[in-house]
Amino acid sequence: MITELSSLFSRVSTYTKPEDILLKKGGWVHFSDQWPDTHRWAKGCVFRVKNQPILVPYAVTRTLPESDYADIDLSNAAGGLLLYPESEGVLYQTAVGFKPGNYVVHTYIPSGKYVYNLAYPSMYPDVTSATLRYLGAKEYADSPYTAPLWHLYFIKDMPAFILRLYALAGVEFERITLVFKINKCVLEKIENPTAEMLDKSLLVQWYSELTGF
Amino acid sequence: MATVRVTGHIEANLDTLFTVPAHKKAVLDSVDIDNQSGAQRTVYFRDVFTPSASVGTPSPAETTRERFQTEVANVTTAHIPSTQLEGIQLLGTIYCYADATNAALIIIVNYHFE
Repeated sequence: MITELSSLFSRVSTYTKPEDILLKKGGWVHFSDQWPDTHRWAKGCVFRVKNQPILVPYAVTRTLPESDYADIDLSNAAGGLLLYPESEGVLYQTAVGFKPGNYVVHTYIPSGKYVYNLAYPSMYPDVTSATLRYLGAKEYADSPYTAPLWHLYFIKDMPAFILRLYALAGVEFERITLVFKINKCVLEKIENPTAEMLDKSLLVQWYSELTGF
Repeated sequence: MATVRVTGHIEANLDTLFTVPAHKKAVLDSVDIDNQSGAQRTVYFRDVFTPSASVGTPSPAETTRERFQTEVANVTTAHIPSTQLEGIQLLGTIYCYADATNAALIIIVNYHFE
């Protein structure tokens, strides 16, 4: 559901376009067996990208006062950004890039359930805490908008990704811009995947697999 | 990079320099002011924008911030390079005004969006 590349990649990205690291026609995708039955078409299945994917750019901006925050919902729910597919058998691989600024971004899926926490009970992201607002927080260097390294995966009707944008103190107002590159992939199910396919395919996990350890 | 040229107007009749597009900030590259108005003049840049709704301010109002101010002696051309404009980030509609209306007070602004 989320993949990231080493920041080392950002240093060689002068020679690599963001498109070069996205899924392409023929690429293999494996949904873990932890996906619920409401997504039965994907649960535990391996797919091949059927089409030459189409890359759709988009951007969203919030101008926020310092020490304040706003949430954006990436899903197709009312008030959301409407970035999710509307058909089964379609995967949107979405590269999220950040423009420079004095802000951090926290990730939740679904609303209220943070992704980047640690095992100790009090170690969870919290923008109201002077220390925990930096725990699990993404910033410009993690995924520059010119070479985004942070990928989110959307299928129809899956839980909403919520991004909490927090303007750090010291700038009075910050303009926070996220740049999305949405790689629209049509998937074709592979009925009997080989061991190599399972080993080399892109694993898309259910959100509960990302936390709890 | 873009350039805009205006002549000096008082605050009540201020000039629009440019409007920053969505998803961008504006940065000033240089400011040139030619003051042949007969007296020392002060030039101001104003930024007017409306913030987004936030948890702390769910219904934000239009906000005005003075971003730049400089005095130029009479019969003087001032050149303010980017090194002296670093850190000024503009968010909304950018206006220019002066302490007097005078066609012999010429202001040229070079800027870009990022």
